[in-house]
Amino acid sequence: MSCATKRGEATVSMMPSNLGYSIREAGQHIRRNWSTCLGAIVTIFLSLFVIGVFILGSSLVSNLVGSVEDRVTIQAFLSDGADRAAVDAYQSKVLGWSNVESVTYKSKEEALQEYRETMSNRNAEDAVAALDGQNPVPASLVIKLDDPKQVETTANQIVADQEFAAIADTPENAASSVQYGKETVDRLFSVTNYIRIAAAVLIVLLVFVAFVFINNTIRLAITARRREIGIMRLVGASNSFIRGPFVAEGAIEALVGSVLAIVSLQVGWNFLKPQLSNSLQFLSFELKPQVVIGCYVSLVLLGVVIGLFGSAIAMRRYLKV
Amino acid sequence: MPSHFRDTEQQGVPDVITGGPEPVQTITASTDIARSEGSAVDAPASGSLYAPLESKGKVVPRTGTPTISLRGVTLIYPAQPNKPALDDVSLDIYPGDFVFVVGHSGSGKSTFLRLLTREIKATKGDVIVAGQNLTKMRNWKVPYLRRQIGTVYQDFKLLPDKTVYGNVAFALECIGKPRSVIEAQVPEVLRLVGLAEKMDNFPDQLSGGEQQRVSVARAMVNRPPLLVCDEPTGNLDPAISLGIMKLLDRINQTGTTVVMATHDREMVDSMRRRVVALEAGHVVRDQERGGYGFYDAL
Ligand SMILES: Nc1ncnc2c1ncn2[C@@H]1O[C@H](COP(=O)(O)OP(=O)(O)OP(=O)(O)O)[C@@H](O)[C@H]1O
Ligand SMILES: [Mg+2]
Repeated sequence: MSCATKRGEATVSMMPSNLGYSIREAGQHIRRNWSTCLGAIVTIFLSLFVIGVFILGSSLVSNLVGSVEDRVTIQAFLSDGADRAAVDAYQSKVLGWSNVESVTYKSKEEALQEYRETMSNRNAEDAVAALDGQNPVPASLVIKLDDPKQVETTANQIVADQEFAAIADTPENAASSVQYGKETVDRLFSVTNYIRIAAAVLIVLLVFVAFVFINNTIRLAITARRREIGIMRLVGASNSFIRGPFVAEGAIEALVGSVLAIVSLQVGWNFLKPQLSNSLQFLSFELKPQVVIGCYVSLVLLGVVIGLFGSAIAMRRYLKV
Repeated sequence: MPSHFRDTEQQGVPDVITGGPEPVQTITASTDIARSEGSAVDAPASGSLYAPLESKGKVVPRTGTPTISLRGVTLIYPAQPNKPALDDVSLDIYPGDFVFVVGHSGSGKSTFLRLLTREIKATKGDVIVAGQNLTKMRNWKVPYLRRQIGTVYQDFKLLPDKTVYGNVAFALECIGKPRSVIEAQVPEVLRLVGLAEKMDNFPDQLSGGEQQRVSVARAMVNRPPLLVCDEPTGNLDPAISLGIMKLLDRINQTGTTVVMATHDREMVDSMRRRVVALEAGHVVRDQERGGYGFYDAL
């Protein structure tokens, strides 16, 4: 067995990457210090999970709010016998108000048609047919506002208006001719705002904690391998080679954490969705697949960023050349 | 045992140290290596580790470009701004040289060696190793410099959870050598240092001298043209020290430049090689075939 031939073979496959080495070393450290590494994984998982809930939840809520905001309009019902000129005049008057975006006239026929469509799945056809060609639905002015929060003030303004009383469906009680979705609106606004603030604070906190945890485990890993690092330097290992195992460890922990977060989100959603749809049938609880996939991808990316940043900072302090 | 060592010398030495078909990344000019290699082959493969040194008193011709060249080097540690550890040191070391660096404790020997591997940067002046100015060298290049320098320390610096083989192989793994190269070179160099049979032992199953031979093997496995040793025998008893010394001498015979800091007066006196004496950061003596000198009186 001559040395020359052995070396001849060796030169054929030069310079393998140290990826395998890094992952092996990182895996070994994780196995030996699993409790600390588990801490890092769990914090990553928790922060990504909350972020995921927030992303998906806010996409859901903004779908809902979007449809509700459309419905935050004031309907002022008009009497069948209202003078058309008076109606037109009143329409342009309301349009002149500062917070009013648009005022549209909805005729009796349009209103009936709409009623048919929205109610079709509740056997509206039968109800309409029972009317014998009569149209009980009043015409109305549909008023959209710039700022949906002002809905109550504006509605009161209309009720108090003498000009409106003249054309209202129920002149003796103008208030009952004016309708808007007051309660839903109030609640949605306050709730979404609080949720947003709370989630943002929570996310910042959790990302910070996850970051600290990763940083800590990597520091531990570095301390555990001090001797090795010293010898690596001595024999001329490149800096990227020395960093490899630590980067790999941060990335592995982050990846495991983010996969756990994604799985929990998916499982949780699959469990929650039927229940929500059951109890709130009139709302749609659909998430677009693009939104879900985008959310998961960004969770993985965010996790990896936390992992890499955490280990990079730990290394910067401990691995000076 | 003696027969085993004889065996090693005949097969292993010239092959491992000077490199076979794979080109050695040279610090020295290649012609110089070839010349020294010739002398190694000429040297009779003499008996055991404890045979008399053949190279006693050998002087390396001062030709070609120096492997190591210090030009007015001053080094001031930030912790001691008023007392330079090295003060205006100029020195040339040529390919194939064997240089003892001697001096009192705190005279700057380790500091000098640390400059060569760029563990520290000269405060003033130029340190040129292998034609590269280390004072100006970028940080990312330092690992590539160190691949051309083997280092041996008093405390061995072995990894306790790796075997002898694993410790030596680690040096090659770290610089990305493929497994086939590792499997070929590690047993060879372990044979050279006489540890072929203890390949699977762990460091705590070895004597101090054997551990130091492992660290010499690790320093040599990548065939560096320069070997830097900081008191490699500082922890060993005289007989074992002599064994290490002969190993280093043999490595030097094959063309490797060796720079060695030591306190071991007997060894320096018996070797009669070049001696650079430091005192308080100054070179106070630079002598071919020197002795430990000066300090005889102390
Ligand atoms: N990291 C450091 N910071 C500050 N001063 C240092 C440092 N290292 C060494 N010194 C000082 O530099 C001088 C030279 O130290 P050096 O280690 O080179 O001595 P040495 O000759 O190797 O001694 P020894 O024979 O004991 O190993 C000493 O005065 C020492 O105190
Ligand atoms: Mg020293």
